[in-house]
Amino acid sequence: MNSSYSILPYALLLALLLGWALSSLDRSITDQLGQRSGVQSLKDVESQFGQGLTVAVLGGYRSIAANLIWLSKNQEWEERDVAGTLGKIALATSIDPRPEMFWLNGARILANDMPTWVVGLENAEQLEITDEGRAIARQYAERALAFLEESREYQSGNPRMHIESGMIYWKKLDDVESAAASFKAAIDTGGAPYFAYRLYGELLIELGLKHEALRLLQSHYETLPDDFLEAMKPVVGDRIRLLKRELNIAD
Amino acid sequence: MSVGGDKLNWSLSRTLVIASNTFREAVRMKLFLGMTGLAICALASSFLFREFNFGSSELKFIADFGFGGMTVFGSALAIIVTAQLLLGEIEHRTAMTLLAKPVYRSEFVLGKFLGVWVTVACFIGMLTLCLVLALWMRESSIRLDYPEEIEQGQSLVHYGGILWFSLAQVFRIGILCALVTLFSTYATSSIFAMVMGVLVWIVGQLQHVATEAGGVVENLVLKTIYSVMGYALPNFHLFDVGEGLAMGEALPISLVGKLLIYGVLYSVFYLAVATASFNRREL
Repeated sequence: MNSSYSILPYALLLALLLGWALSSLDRSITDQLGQRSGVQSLKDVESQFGQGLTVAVLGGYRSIAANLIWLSKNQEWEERDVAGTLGKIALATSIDPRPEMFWLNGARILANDMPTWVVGLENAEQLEITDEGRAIARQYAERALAFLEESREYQSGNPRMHIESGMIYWKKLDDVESAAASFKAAIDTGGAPYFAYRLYGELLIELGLKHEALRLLQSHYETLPDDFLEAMKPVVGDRIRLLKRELNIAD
Repeated sequence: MSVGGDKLNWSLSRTLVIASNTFREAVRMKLFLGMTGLAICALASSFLFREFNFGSSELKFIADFGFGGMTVFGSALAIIVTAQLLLGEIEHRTAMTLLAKPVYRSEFVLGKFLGVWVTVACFIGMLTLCLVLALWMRESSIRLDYPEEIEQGQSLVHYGGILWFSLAQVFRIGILCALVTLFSTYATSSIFAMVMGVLVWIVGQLQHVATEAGGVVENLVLKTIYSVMGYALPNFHLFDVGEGLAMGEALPISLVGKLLIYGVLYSVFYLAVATASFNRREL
């Protein structure tokens, strides 16, 4: 009787043919589920293999694994260990990149806490006074922005990532133009919170684009509910009236 | 095969007898009982861990635990039980006793596959039941705690979605069982079949990346490797339909049909190769 191994080459050939024949069905299911992994370069291949491996090995348990790693990061955060905290943040987001909380809080730790750890709490004012301090603050702010940029792959359609970028550009880097662009991106993404519109309006005013700010606030005002405190409709209304007065536009 | 001069017909009833014996043997295995207990305990632990959930709603967190149990424990069970039951019969020579009777080798292979597949499907069914119960209990508790926040008649959990997910896992497990059956037909040890099963499980989960990478990279050698990987193995990632199913995302019937066709075609192919391989094997 022939050995079982003798059919393996034929089996492999038939498997390739079957795979080729079913590739259109595979693509159809993938498109219907929206599962394209977005591989566009060799670099993407490495990160997607990592993600795929995590899903394969942990399945639905990856969320608890990532959550526990995030919790354990607090130990390094309390000790003001920059490398340790960065490592745990990177590990949590690589195991489970779905929670927005990891990305937002990771960026905030990078931009706000780490510069203080580097210069020391007692020298925190140096971050705004001395050139060296400002350079450290800028360095970590840019790292936070790069970190948020990584999140786009997993958080596309989430306006909060753009809002966080906008706040870093505005408050940490004094880059009002980039901050305004980020807030615009948040609004264009859809589902942006009410305050994003108000802040975008303020940024436009700071850039000297008062007419554009007025148009934005007016169109936003029309959409605001009357009885929802968070919408701050009266505040938006007051801002519109103030802008009209500055621009000499009748009510 | 001839018996007393008359050609023996291939019989589904003989196959089902082998399948039912395999099923009885599988559910009595300590491994099966241990895995079931472990998966249910893991699901129950989601109630303890919910305080450590940061990324999603509590109910989705519990659903993730249940889905994780089905995929991880279900796949592990499929690989180990298939290898142990099929190769165990060959190693202990009980297969020779069975095949000395008027039984086709294909009936034996198919019977073993069906027995294991039904066993793991039962495991997924039990876990599904536990998950539905866990979610229903927590949903009821949330309704009692926050009656004004939730509209009357509004369901926080889409139980139908959970059933669809379980069905998708049964299809996936079918392919995995068929693959491990194939490895078992020419392997000389159950460890080899299990290791191959785990490798194929992982590589099958990465198949979609290889397929896309094959279209992107320019290096001819890498392109060939990725393309071969992409075509030679089934794409298990297709069956990861669980992200939002429990929370109301719809799964179209057409998609379920496509997954069924995909699963059946691959399972039939691997079983056919397994049969051909086993026919050539000296016991």
